[in-house]
This record gives sequence, structure tokens and C-alpha cells, in this order.
Amino acid sequence: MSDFSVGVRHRESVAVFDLKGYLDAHTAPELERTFQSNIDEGRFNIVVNFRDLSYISSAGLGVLMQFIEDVRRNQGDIKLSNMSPRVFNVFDLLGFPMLYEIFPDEDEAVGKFLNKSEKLS
Amino acid sequence: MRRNVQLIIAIAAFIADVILLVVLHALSDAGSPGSSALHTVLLAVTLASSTAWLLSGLRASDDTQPMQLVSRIVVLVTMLLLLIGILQFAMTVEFQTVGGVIAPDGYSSLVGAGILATAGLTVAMLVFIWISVLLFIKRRRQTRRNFTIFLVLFSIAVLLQYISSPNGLGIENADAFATLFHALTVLAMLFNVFRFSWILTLSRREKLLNLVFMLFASMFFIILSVYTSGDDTLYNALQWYHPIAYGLVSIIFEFGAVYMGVGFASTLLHLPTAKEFDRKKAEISSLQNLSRLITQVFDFEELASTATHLALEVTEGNAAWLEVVPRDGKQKNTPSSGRSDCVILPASVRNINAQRIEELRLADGSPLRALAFETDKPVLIQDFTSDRRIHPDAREGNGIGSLVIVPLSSHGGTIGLLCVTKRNPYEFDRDVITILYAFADMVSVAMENSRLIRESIVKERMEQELLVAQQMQQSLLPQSLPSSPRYDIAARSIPAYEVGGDYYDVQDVGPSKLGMVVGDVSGKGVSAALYMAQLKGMFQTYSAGVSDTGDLLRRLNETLCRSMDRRSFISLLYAMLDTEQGELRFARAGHCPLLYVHDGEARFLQPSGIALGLDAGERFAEALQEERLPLHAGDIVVLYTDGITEARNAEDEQFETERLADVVLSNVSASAGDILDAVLRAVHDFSGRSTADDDMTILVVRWK
Repeated sequence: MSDFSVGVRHRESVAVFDLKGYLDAHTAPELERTFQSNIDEGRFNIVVNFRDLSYISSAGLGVLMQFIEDVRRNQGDIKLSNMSPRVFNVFDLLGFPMLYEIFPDEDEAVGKFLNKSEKLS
Repeated sequence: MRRNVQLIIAIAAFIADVILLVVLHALSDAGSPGSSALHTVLLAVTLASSTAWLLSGLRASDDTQPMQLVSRIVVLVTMLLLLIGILQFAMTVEFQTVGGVIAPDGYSSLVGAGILATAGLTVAMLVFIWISVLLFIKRRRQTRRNFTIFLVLFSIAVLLQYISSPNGLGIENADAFATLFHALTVLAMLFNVFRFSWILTLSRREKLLNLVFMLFASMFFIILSVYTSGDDTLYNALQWYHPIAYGLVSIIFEFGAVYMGVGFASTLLHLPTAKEFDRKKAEISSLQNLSRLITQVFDFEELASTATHLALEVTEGNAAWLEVVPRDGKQKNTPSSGRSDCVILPASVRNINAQRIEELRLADGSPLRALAFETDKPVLIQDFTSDRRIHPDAREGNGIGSLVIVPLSSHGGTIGLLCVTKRNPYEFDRDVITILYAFADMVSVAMENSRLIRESIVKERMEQELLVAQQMQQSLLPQSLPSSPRYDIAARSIPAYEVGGDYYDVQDVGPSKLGMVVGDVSGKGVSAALYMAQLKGMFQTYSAGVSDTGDLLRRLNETLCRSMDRRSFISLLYAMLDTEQGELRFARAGHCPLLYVHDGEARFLQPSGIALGLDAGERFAEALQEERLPLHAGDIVVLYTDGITEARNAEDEQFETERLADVVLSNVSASAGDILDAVLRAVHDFSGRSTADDDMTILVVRWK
């Protein structure tokens, strides 16, 4: 019933997760594993691309919250991009835009990470 | 103990018999045949003593051990033969015939004849009783009848022997009749002796043993019959002792010879099928055991252990083990996933250890189980030590000569493997393999049943938990709503089947102040219900006297952030109606906007705010804004959860806020309860389904 997938791409130092399909309580563990393995490998600059995501439930949001503290403690961040209006509405109502950076376009999100690391170096 | 006492009595009676015979004869003349009355008394004593103790202990019953009886007969007859041999060596036993009447010649002969006759008669009686018992094993209706006919003829033949013998009545004309009835008795014997069905159920080893016993027994009986029939020592001794004794003994020895001879032949005929019979017997008992096992499947380990135990019994194998494909519910078992996932069940491993099994590698280095998963068909390796599929290093030194791997399948998928090995190559014949396949099917069924039972137990537990959560959720909702001339209020929460996280509450929070809260706890089941309970407790405690709705939410967030799982959060809208001022103050913690209808116009008010539990720090406090709304007569306020606006139809469209506003606008003059009903009906009509994906909660206030 639930078809959901996560693809991981690497753009320089940034890991980009492409979410596809329905992210609910049944499929959330898959995203959780993707986050966990990237964090285990020391990748803390993460952009989640929502372009092909058609639905997100509270369990899906819970995954982001589960890892945000860890990621930020390690000078990284989870940035969100390419949300459809419907998905954005869910994030917006809950107040996520005040807690997460949400970009219309993935390039912007990735660029933000890369600019920051350039400034640092 | 009792048996020994009986034996002592029998021996004592035997010795007393002989002594009595000798002493009484000594009193008369040693050469005389003795009075027939005296001999008849002696005969009666011997018969009585030899049979009395036996009959007390022996009854033909179902638990009679035929082999034991046969072996006893062999021992007894051997002893008799030895005794005859020893006596002939040790003393001269000679007889003289006076006018046809036989009598021992001298005292030594008298003693010897006495011992021989008594011993012969005793042995014959014992043999007769034991063979009778054997004849009555698995008796049928005609068994008794045939035996009775035999006994009658037997008695007549013995009696005629007495009548015709010179030592008895000595009537010469009776000779022919005696011979005739002797012949008839032998004929009757033949109708009685073909009763060897008990041989069939012996194991192969027992059959071989029985064959030897019966061979010796029949040979010994033939020798004894020869001894008793002709002009030999035993014949003379018995004739002198009593013609009836002679009649009994000679016929019984013939009977023994015939019985044992036929028994020998019968055993010989059963021998070729003995092995097959053994296997069938084992198979039947194993299959019976397993079918019993199918109903006892609560302990999977026990099931695995019994399955391999029985597999070895059925196949006469050397080692066996079970491997299973672990299932985690959703995963479909494809051959490829099974190959890597299959695990050996430790409880099932017999006569080999798990490490040894893992070391059994194929030529390409993959584990043995890969063979079976290639085809999902049984694999037979007739010669493990030279099979090319097996890695050369794994062929030797593990006690495996041949091997069978049978996949256990259920609903088209392979759920495991049953492996059985034998010590030597080419030991698995077609029959064994056929049996093993049938057996594997039963194991599959048993394992599947076991799994289903465990699953249904888990499912039942989950359903139980869900039920508890639902009951909890229902009990947390207010049982009644306040009423007032200033406003009209209605609220309802409809839980979805699985998800349960919606919450609403209404209560007085101060003089002429009514607090109303609608929230949505993330997650479901018991954990969501527990957060709801916590929330209700906090709301009822904190809300009293707090006039700033934002302050209440900040306090709730502070407390909740400390206790909540970081993946969970609660969206909530708190509205406080000041009935005196006619004002509504509200704050929104990440919840759906508030619908405000005034003067035929609907507005969704969405002051800034983050859901409870998302941020424990400043950001929550900073983001939260309180909004104040002066109310006018006829104004309608609707609080709701996303279950309403996100209700989907078949085209995957959502109900959306617009439709909600439309429904309320077209019912502006209706009561709060009617508006609520209209909204729920509209959602229902829109989604076209009776069950919702998510909880739906709606609270409607109409200001008068």
C-alpha cells in the first residue's frame, strides 16, 4: 500500500535525500535508517528534497525532529527544499519554517551549506 | 521372588517323585513292572506338580512375549537332551521285557528310568502349555474350536495308548485304533500350528533370533520324537512309568517338532520383508507422533527438536538438522533472500554441530543450503565424499556419506530446509526419500501453524492495546459541555481506526471565562493516549486563572518538552471566551487555523506559533502570538483538526479549508450542533467513505 523511497546523492560535502511517495508511520523507518547511516558516516550537511513526496504524516516529521539536535550539535544542519504547496502547508502550520530552513530550490539549500564552509575556510 | 519359590516347589516335587518311585519299587521286586495303581498315582503327582505352578503364572494375554516363550522352550528341551545324554553316560539304564511288559533291569536302571520319565513328562507338560499360549496369541473364533478338537483327539489317542500298551491294559486289538487316533491327532495339530501372526510384528533382529531358536527347537524335538518312538531308553522309561505318560510325551514332542518346524519356515518367509516392515512401523509411529505434534505448536523449539528426531527415526539417518527462513512479517521470501538469511535452528541439530554444518561448503564457497534454494526442489547427494557440487575440503571427515536436503514450503514460499545425512554413500533409497518428502510436508504444516499462532497472539495483543488506547481517548474527552444564554457550543471527536491522537476539552477557567482547547497528538495507540492524558491533566491544572492564552501554551510546552519523546509533538489551539466582555482570546501552537465567521464572511486566523514539543527554547516563546477577537451576535468560531481539512476523496483531493468555510457559511443561522453535523456530513459525502484515515475533531461556538 505504502510506496516510499529515499535516494541519496552527494553534492560535494552535502548529502541530498530525494524523498518519493508517501511518508507515514509505515515508511518512516526507512528515512530514519537513511539519516542514521549518513550521521554514522559523519555527514551532517543534509538537504532533504521533497519534490516527489506526495504526503507526509506526523511520523515523517518526527524523523526530522529525531535527528536535528544531533546534526546541529555537529555543526551541521537539515535543510528542506522543493516542497509542494500541500506538503509545505503541513510544515507551515506546525511552525517548522521557524525551526528549519526551507528553500524552494535544492541548489539554494546546497549553496547555503557550501558558502558557509567557504567562509569558514 | 514368587517365581523362584514356584521353581523350588517344582524341583522338590520332581525329586520327591523320583524318590517315591524308587523306594516304592524297592519295596517290591526291582524287576517287576510294579502295580499299575502305583504308577497311576505317580503320574498324577508329576502332572499336577509340573502344571500347577505354571498355570498359576501363565495366561495368554496381549502382553505375552512370544519370543520369551520360544526361548524358554529351547532352554528346556536342551536341558532335557543334556539330561538324557548325562544319564546314559553316568549309569546303565537297561530294561527287560517280560511278556511284552517293559521294566527296568536292576536298581540303577530303576533310578535312571524314574528320573528320565519324570523329567520327560515335566518338560513335555511345560512345552505343551507354552505352545498353547503361543497358539492363542491374536486368537480368532476358530482358534479355540480347533484346539479343542485337537485336545479331544489327543486325549483319545493317549487313552488308546494306555489301553493297547502291555504296560497298561494290554488289549492287543486296540493297537490299530491307537495308531489311527495318533495319526488323527497329528492331523489336528496341523490345523492348529499355523498361527504365527506374531512373527510379523517382530523387528528384523528379533526375527533372526527367532529363526535360530526355532531351528534348534525343531531339531531337538525331532531328536526327542525319535527317542520316544522307537525301542530306546526314553521310550522304555516312559512306557514303564506309565503308558499315558508315554502317550502324552510322544505326541507333545511331535507337536513341538511340527510347531517349531512350521514356525521356522514362517519366520524364514517373513525375513526378506523384515527390514521394510521395520521401516514402515517406524514411519507410521513417527507420522503419528508428528501429527500429534501439529497440534502442540506453542513451543517452536520443541517442534524443531521433535521434527529432526522423528526424521532420523523414519530414515534411519545418522544426523539431521532444520534451517528456517526468518520472517519479519512484511518481507516476502524470495529464494535469493532465503539463501543469505536461512538460519540453523540450534534445538533441531542432531548428531552434528552447527559449526560443522556451516563448514559444509559448496564448490564455489557458498553454504550448503544454497543448493536447495537454487531450485527449491529436494536435493539428494548420494555420494557426499566424491560429489563435485561439494567443496573438496568439505567432503571428508564429517561422517557424511550421503545427504538429502528437503525444502519446507508453505503457500508457495520456502520457509526452511530439512537436512538428513547417512554415514555411507548410496544409503538413501527411493522409499526412504519418498517417506522423507511426506514427512517434510507435515513438518512444514506444523511450522506454519506454529508461526500463525504466534502471529495471531501478537496481533491480538496489538488489537487489545489499540482498544485500551481508544477507551482511554474516549474517557479523556468531556462527557458534557457547558451551556449559557450567551453562547451555544457543540463538539465532537471521531477517532479513525488506527490513529488516535485528537483531543478537545472545554472547561470554565475563571469567572465568566470559558477555556476551549483542540489538539492533535502525533503518533498513535497507547503512547498518543498517554500524552493526551498528560495534556488534559496539565490543561485542567494550568488553565485556571490564566488570562493570556499564549502564557498557558508556553507553560504546556515547557513541561511537555521535558517528558516527551523527541519525535513526538502536539499541535494545539487554545481559545478563551470571555463571556462578559464578549471577547475571544486565542493562541495557536502549530495547529490548524481558527475559522471565524462574521457577517457572512469566513476568515481563517493563523497567528504565528510552533507545535508543542518541537522546540524547548526561546524560539517557541518568541514565535507564539496571541490574537484577540471581539465577538458580535451571530459570530461563529470553529476549532478543528486536520482530519477534517485533509480528508481525502477517491481522486486524492483534500477537503481543504475552502469547503469547510462554505459549509459553515451556508449554515450561518443554524445552531452550533447543526453546523457541526453539517460539516461532518459534508466531509463524509466528500470522501465517500464511512471510515476516515485520521481522527476528526470539530468544536463550534456560536455567540448570541
